[in-house]
Amino acid sequence: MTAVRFAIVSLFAVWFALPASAQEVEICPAAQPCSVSRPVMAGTETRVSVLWQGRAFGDRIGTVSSDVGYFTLGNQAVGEPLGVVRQPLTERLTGTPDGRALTFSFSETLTIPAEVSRQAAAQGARELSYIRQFSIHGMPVTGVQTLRLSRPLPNAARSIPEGADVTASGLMLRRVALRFDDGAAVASVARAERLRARADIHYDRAGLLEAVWEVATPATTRGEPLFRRLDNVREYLGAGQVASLRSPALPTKQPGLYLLRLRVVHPSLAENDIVLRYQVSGVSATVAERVPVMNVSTDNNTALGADTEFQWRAVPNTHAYQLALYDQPPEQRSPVEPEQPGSEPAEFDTAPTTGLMVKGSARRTRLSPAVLYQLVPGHTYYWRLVAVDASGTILAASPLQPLRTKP
Amino acid sequence: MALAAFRPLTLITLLLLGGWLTVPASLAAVPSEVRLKSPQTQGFYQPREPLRLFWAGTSIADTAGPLSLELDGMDVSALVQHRDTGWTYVPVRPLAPGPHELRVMFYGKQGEVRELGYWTFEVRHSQALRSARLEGQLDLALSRRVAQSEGTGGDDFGAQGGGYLASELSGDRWRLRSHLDLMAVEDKTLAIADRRVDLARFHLRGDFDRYHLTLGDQQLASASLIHDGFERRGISTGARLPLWDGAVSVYQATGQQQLGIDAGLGTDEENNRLSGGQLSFWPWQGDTAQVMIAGERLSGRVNQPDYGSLDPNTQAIFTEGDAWNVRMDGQFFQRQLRVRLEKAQSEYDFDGVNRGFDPEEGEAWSTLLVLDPTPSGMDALDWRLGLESKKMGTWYKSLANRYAPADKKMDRLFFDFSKNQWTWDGSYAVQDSNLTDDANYATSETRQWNLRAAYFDADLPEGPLLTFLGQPNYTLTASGTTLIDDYTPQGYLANDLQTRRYGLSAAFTKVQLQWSAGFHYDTVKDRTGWQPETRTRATQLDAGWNLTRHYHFFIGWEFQHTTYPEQGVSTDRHLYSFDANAEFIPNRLHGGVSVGLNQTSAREDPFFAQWDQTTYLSSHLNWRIREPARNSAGLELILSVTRNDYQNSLFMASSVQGYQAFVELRTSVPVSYPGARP
Repeated sequence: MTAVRFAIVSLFAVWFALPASAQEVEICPAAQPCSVSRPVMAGTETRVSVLWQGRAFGDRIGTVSSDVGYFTLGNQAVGEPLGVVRQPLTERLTGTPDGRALTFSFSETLTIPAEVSRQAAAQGARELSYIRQFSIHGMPVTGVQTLRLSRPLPNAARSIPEGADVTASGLMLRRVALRFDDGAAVASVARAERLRARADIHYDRAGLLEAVWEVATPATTRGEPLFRRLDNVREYLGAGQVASLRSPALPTKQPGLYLLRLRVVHPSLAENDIVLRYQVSGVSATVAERVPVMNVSTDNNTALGADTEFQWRAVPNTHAYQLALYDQPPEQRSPVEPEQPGSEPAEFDTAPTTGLMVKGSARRTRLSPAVLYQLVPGHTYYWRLVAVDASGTILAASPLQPLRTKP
Repeated sequence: MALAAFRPLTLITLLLLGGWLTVPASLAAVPSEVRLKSPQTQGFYQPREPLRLFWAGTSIADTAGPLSLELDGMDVSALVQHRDTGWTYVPVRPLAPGPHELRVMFYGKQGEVRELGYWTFEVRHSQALRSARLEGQLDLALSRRVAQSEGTGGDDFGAQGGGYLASELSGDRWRLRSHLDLMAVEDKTLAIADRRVDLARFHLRGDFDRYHLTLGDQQLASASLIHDGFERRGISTGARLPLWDGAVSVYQATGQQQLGIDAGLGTDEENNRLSGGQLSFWPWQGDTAQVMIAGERLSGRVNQPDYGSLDPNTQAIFTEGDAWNVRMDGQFFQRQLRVRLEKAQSEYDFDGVNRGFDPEEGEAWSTLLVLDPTPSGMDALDWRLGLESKKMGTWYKSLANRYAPADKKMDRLFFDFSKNQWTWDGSYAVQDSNLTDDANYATSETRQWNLRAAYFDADLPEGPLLTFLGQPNYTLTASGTTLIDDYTPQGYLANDLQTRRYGLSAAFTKVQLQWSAGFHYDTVKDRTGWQPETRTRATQLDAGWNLTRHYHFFIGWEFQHTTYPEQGVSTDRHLYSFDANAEFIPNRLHGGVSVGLNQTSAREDPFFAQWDQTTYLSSHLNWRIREPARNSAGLELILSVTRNDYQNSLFMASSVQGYQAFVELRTSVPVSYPGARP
């Protein structure tokens, strides 16, 4: 305990030990109770109005004053105070010759630091005592105010006090979480495989979010990582308390270790260091999720039938082409990526309803009797052509397109 | 007579005509019986085992027509190998484990259809294993820094490696699956969890009959009011129940997401552990309707933020709580109406265990109605309409969904339409806060709306200009929010804020050229005056050019212009990028250059004055000494040079520049067994 704290505790002890001069001075008597404007929110800096009232007897002229106040648990002036308020209060009193009681009152605007109420709540207290030692006619009198502790609403944000300085962003970030598209916090992908990340942002209030997506490539993670800016983000988050930012396509052409981060510029944060790691293999994907587009022409204006001819250009290394027909749009193994031009899903979760296979030397085909036999009249089918190599790997695929059979 | 004319045609000759056999006579001979040769291994075929068919005898069809071989509905006749006595078909793609169908059909020209043979057979890996699959990539690289600018940090020698391995084995009654993510770095500051060699993620799952056991990183439950749906490290086990397709599972896992082998199974730390279980049933499952009911309960303690997350308000305390929910999810009326109801309750110690206040109880509920009356299709209007209502109580919080917004009530209407190449969607939501009307807090109402229209055409459009532009993809968006206080505590500013966003993007694709342009305009207006009114116009242009298969170029420009109308100032941000990749010698010598230029001109920014420029230049040359192949390591020599210049025109002392050059030798092994995925 420091010397100052020891002195404060000693003073309290002395004051409480003094014979009360209640006959001449009273603070917060029953007839004139002191009051506090509202409860104190635990863990939050709270401003309250405190009203001190009292009465004095006598015919002397003097002052009522108090130099400091203390926060304690209970009204015991023992132990270490939780906080000190160095705000002097002074009021001049004029005595009455007839000896009647003279009332007085002080209004004090009191700020309870967040740490004081947090400490009190942490010790299981529901109330906090605010003690002031007054001096009236040179006589010491102790006043005690009881500050009721209330807990802050855990899911609500405080409003902005009037007169607050203008700020660049009114957002209050609760959490920023970086994840790759599959929800994992680390990724291992093949060379040139598509990869994106997203940032889930939980916030209160509303305002500007300014951030920068940055990546350090293997060209620098082999030594000292240097981040390259990938994208600037400037969005106004206005509602919902949850937002999701999607990164641009992440570089995956060079093998090695990459570092990815979202550097938040506004609102400014004391700590701003979330870095995810991903590594790119030196080999291409064993099984590509998406494959290049191949163009297949057909007369879309005619009904799907025996006359429908499908024509295409050769895809190198193709062993066979498969014309697949689905009776409804098939589900994809990976989400649709409309912003990824030039590629198609290699696989669908749904097997084709029917279709046919032709040799890799073919450049055109019509529907075989076996396929025609399985088609239902007046129904829309979704077709595409895929090129398959000798190992069974899909090399390219045409976009899924609808064609309707004759009624 | 016709029959006599047909006799000289032998069946062999007939078969040699190919799969789409036609006979130039009004009558045709077809096999009277077709036999499928038994597999090499008794009882099953392997994924790429040839299917051998033998003809036995002939019969006469009324008209000529083709014979066809259909495997799982796919006509594979064109790929059969013709033998004297039958056909052999080697599956082009490996057949997936499980049952398959094979048919030999005759389609006569006059409509006669005859099934000449039909078989179902099973495909599996071996007698003991139904399936066996291993897939992965492993890398190891050694690098040496050969040049650097003065003051550059990091090590001159580096070693990095990693990759993943995924496997699946199954028998008749069991299945084992695993996925391992490995990472190795010589520089510990780059390690994922302070280990030079680490198992970043792992997932092991075993199924036996109706039971399962999962270890490692896993999604413990689907997203709900009490669960965020993210994966966590833990142990879970469960079983399918004989009643109503029921399932039960229990789990124990880390309270927050973790990586690395040191996180173990996620059950070691008492103050960072979740335990829970769930039960689900499908009491009604039909073609036109189905209903699922489920319940879940969890409890535990959490004391840290998740890996890869930033939590500015985190405190060094641990909190505990428990939560439960019940939910019903059903589809009715030909599955055109979806109804989802959920109710949840929680008890949560907000200020930490044994610190001040007691745990609080809270509740939440949600309802979702989605009407989807039209089957998906591109030639008719397909539409969907939904209503959602959700209330998260003032004191509601679940340990497994800690960041879900609460003390809110939200109603939302949403829709989407699609027809041909067009799609439209939109939503409108109203959200109220401060459900207990606590006088210390504002009571606010938020309104949020968004509209989007998109056009995508898989074909090249007609007309010289549109054809020149390429396959189009257009998107138009508009969204806005309004935040207004119904009540504001005394002494505080009343919320009155409005944001708007309007966007337009167009992307075009051709065989050799892809390009896109985008523009969006954002505004924020805070009538309290606490935040400045700002307007941002952002423009983005990208173009990619595949000169040949071996030369690719990409160029991009992004421009942000922000104005502060009240202050009369504006700021500009430019981001230029250029990438070029060339394969000088196919599969042998490859090079690339990346240039990034970022310019920020915000001298007058009233909050964060910036005036700087960053130039990033990186180039690499890769010599592929040995091409990696399946289960065979490749070897690659890489030379890379990077230069980075940062010039700060406001604070010259902050300007830095540097460069690094490396030589790296990298070996990579693609692991795959048995080969292409079925």
